[in-house]
Amino acid sequence: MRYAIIALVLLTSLSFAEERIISALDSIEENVVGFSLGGSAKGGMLSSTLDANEESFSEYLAFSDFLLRLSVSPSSETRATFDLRFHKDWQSAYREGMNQPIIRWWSYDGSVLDKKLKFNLGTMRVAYTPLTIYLPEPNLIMEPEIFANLKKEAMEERYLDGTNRRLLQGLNAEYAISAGIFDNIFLQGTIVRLRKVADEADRIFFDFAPNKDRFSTAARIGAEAYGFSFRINDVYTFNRVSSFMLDKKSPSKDTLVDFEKNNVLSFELGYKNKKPISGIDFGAGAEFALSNWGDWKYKKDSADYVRVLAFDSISIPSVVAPDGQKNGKEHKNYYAYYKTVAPSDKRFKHVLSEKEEFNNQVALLGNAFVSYNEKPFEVKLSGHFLKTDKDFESELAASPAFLPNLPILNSDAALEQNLQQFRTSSLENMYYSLYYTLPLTFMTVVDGKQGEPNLYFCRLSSRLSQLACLDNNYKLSHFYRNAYTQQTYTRLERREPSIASRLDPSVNLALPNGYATPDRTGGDADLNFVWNKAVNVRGVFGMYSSEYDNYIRFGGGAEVNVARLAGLSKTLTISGSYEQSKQENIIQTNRIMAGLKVGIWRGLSLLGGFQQLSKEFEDSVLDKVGELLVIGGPQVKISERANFNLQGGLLSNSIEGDGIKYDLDKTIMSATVKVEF
Amino acid sequence: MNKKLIFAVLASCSLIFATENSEQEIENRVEILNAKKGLEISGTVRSASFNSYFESRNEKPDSTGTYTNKMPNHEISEFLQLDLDFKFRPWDVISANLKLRLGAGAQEYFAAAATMVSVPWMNIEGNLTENFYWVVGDFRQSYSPLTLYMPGIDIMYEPTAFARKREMAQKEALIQGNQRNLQGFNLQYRPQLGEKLGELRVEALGARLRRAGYLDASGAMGNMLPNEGIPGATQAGRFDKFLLAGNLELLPLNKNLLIGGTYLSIFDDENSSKKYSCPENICRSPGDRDSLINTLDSIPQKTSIIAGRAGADIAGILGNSSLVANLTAEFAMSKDESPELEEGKAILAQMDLGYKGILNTDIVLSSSFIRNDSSWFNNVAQSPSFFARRVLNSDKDLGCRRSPCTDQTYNLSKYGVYSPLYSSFDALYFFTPKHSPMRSTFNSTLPEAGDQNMSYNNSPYAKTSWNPSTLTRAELALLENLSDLNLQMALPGGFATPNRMGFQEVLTANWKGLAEVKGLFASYKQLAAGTAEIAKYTEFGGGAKVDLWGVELSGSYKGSAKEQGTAEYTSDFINAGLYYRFYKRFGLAFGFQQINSDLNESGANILYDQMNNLNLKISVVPIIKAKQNQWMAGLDYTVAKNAWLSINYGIMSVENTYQLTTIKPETNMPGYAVVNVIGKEIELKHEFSRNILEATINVEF
Repeated sequence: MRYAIIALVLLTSLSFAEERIISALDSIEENVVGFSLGGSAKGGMLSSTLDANEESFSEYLAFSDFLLRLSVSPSSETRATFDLRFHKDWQSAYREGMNQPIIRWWSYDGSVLDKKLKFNLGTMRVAYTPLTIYLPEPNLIMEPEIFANLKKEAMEERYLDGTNRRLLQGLNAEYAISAGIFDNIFLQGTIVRLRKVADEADRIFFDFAPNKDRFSTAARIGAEAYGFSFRINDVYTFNRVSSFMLDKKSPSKDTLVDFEKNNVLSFELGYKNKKPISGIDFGAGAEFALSNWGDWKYKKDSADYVRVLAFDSISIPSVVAPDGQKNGKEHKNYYAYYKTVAPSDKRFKHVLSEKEEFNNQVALLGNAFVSYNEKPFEVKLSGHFLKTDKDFESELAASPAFLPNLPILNSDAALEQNLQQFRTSSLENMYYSLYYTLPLTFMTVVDGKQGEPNLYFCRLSSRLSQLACLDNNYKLSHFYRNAYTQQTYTRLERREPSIASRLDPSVNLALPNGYATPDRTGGDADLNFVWNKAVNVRGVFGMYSSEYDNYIRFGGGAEVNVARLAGLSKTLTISGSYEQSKQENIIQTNRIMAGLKVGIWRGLSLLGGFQQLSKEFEDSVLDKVGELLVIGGPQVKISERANFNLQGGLLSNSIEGDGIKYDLDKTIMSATVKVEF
Repeated sequence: MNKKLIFAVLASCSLIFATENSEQEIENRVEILNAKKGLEISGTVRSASFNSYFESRNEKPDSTGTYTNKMPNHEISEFLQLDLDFKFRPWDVISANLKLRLGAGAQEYFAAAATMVSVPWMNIEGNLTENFYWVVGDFRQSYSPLTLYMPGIDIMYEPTAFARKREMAQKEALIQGNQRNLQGFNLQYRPQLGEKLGELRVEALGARLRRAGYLDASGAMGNMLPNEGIPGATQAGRFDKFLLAGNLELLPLNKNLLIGGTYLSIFDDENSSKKYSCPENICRSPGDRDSLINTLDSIPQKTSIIAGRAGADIAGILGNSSLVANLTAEFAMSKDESPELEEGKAILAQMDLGYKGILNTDIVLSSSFIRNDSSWFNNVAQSPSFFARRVLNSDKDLGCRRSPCTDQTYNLSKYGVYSPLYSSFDALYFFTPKHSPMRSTFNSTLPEAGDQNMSYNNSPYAKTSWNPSTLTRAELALLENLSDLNLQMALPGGFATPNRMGFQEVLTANWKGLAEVKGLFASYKQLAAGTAEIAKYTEFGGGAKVDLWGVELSGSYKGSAKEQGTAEYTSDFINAGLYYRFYKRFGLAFGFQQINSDLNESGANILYDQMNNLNLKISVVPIIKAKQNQWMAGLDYTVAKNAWLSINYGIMSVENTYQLTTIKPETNMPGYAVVNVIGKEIELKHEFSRNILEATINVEF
């Protein structure tokens, strides 16, 4: 292998050699047969002080955190991986009880049959196409490094890697070969369970209470030749009706229970030139999708008469006189038989009551790009055209990754009622996340709050005392405060106010559900220009319309590597961008960002970022929401993959409406050291 | 193999690579591979099996043959602990440490509750330069006895049979010497400045001592006195409590001189005050909806301590290796603003004086002097590592709630030193990280009865007296009332104990390292006592150890006394030990310990009032005379230092005499013993004993 690589390096062309060497090093790093331990350790503090109405509230996160990745490779073809997460919140007041690790990732992955068959079993990330399986993520223009790092960390907490792949659990397999004129012929199949029905006692572990299993099966087939590609994709998502726990938890017999089915069939045709022509690459493609969605409403009914095994007895005289007269003494003999009985009140079946369906809803997504890559220039222009029917539904492509749910910082602060609903902000949700362990109590279980009950409650002989106290007083449980999610939501759930209202209008206003957003017609264009790997300019423009609304998005930004331009030995990068999104007559959002990175001395750099976000409403009680986040601080590279970060930040949130203005300020300080091993 | 391969790849790359980006990329990848420099694994296997057979001549059946205390007389405790210490990137400038504790109780019926995996220790540490060390996460640190320190227990010539058990118990609680366990960051810059200037130490640390948050008030952990509802009983923090410290020391003249100073700041952030908000649909009463946590210990702490110290090794300066002459002196001031400003001073002076080699004998006199104001306060130096708790047969600790004494839930084991079956030896030498199934529902009956007992019987918890907790002022005050005077009489908080002035002299003579004789005398007194009398403390004793022909023989006696006006408490502690090593690694051990204590009538009355003022849920009937014996004999196999297997058998017996003149219905006395004597006697003699068979394994690898 050694000589093969050396020979490879000497004989092949420059860029090819580079790729092969890097690939070889990757291979050494990743494909070690046997057992390996890896992961990362992180420790530090984050403090957030909230100032509102001349009151201050502080919150501290002081922690050590280990992510231990254990891999077992029985051969070079397959590998089993699981991650253990250990977390300790600093305190030396008392001995900690049961602080157990949690397993966040389990997978068995492989590449077998001469690497033709690749499979993932367990936890995995999968994406098909933007209309079938896809994870819409926030897409910001020229996001400064300091913000991008915070967002990456928050997403990693939820095991999202920023590649638009959906985090799923199940089995995924792909078989690919090349034959004849075809560069690639492949067949892929995926089956995943999206939700498991929860028992009454363990539904606390879910963000909602699933009362039925939900599965998804998907398959696709495709071929590529001469730069042309053709694929057929199909995704079917459904509830397992018989998993519904009617007996235990369903309400009265008149209540209808939804079982949603969703099927998306799509055809893709595309072309991309195989080799650049005078430095120019180009391509175009189209995906045409048909969706069927149905809400099968079931209600419960008394179960049918059932055949059961029964026992009965007959009396047999023990002695029969010759004259045929019984002597009066009898023996009982038991026998078994089947009989049909009426159901008791506790037996139910579920029957289909009514259906609501939207079938053959169409979506068309076209894309095209042209790029020019000849040093020192790199230019790429790409665009999309989209048309989706009003009731187009693709569940696994439409659930977004950014779905703020809870306030992240200072969630315990006892604010006055008017301020409660404005206590958090888009920027807080996008860039901050908390992770901690708490003793498992009724309150922490149900509310996930850090606020805890008064000890006196445990002394009261009331129902409250039972609720407020702990059943298991030493068990520490892990909790998140994080606005990113890997969950999929059904069409009905996404339309519920509790989830619909969580969509942040400052992120993907026109396409909150990505390209699978229903009822949209329009397109977008994205121009990226790079000169000498030192100047990077990007501009975006998009226009979409729905049945009632028009959306427009435009923006641009630039990043300049000053150090490269001026021939400096230390890093010096500046960036800035502006973006406006508008839903006509409803809302307009403006985002301004600026960033800076300066190399000071050896591994010491200074990072800074500024972001201002405004949301202006029309015909609303709210007039304007303004947010500002300014952060900065030194970053020290201690060793390879080991950094120390010190950051100070100011997060301001102002709300104007009805002649009243509220201001909330959060001062955030953090110091963390992180090492990977 | 990998290194060679990388080298070959790089060497060939250097011939043809032109672009700096590619080179940088490859260098990064190689550095990443190098960064994965190894893994070190070490650890400890700790296992013990205790069989404790309880019996008491006071426990008799009634006329129908029924016993009032139906709890089992026999406790079997078995556990296995494996501490796995992982050190990632051990040869790099930055390392990550993880201690994984795998624990198991010995049973096969159900696995989940009897086994556990936890992480008692994790940190990231590194060296920025040769002289600069830093750590983030768990760490231990002590500066000096008046500043940052963890006072422990000192037993003169403790027999090996017992000393090993104490070592195991302390290590299980992650206690190492007098260093305080903390979580935060610690920085140490220690440049060597040559012979004259010696070593400079510039050190700083920051730690969170407590986090604001709710804890189960009935739990064994996180409570000094579960469900008692008095100041200091629960350790749930209303605020986040922090410690910031700076330490500067110079050790010139080849480290024979010491000049140093320390600044500590211990404070609660009032803005972090936690409230509990209960939803309206659950908390119907508005008063229940918004309450503060732990209002009984909720004064925000704001304490600063400044200390200066100087010391000299005169023998070292003179270059005389036969002379022993050290002197250190420390002066500290505390300023506590919680809630009113209170300043206190503390002085500690220590001197070792002696000579080595007089007739092959080394003689050293160690003297210590302290003068600590009553207002002197520093909880990171005063919180001890020992808090007497009940361990063996704790389920049997039933009191008498009402006549007849048949309430099997009236368990008093939480009262530690005042519980019916307490023994100093039980608290000192036994421990068990007990894991039991948890209750599925919480019982909210009166706290002193059902909850406590249910919690102890059904929840996982560690029965041990050893812990590295940093306590609050209220907790320290409560601990002082619940401390074992036989072990922590004069200086429960070590040399940082407030309200003490006095001295201690220890004379040691050692002959060739084979025989040693020690004498001790100490005298302390309180500086202030409010309306009460000033208390005086006296300690005296001596001991000897001989190590000849593979036989180690040791013995000691220590008498302690506390006088407060007419009140007097005396305690005698006797130790005798024999250890014989044969066939290189086998050992025979025998140990005997005895504690005799007396409390006079005046002392008993004061103690009764004092405990009554605490507002405990029981009234404490004083023990006026106690005699505790313990002997243990066993066989061991020593693998290496700190690694042994042993089997021991022994008997621990206690004879307590209670003064019954002040008795009330709910007391700390054993239910079965008082059932027939209430109102009939003025004294009650209660005798009990435990036959203990134990096997222990302690192997560090």
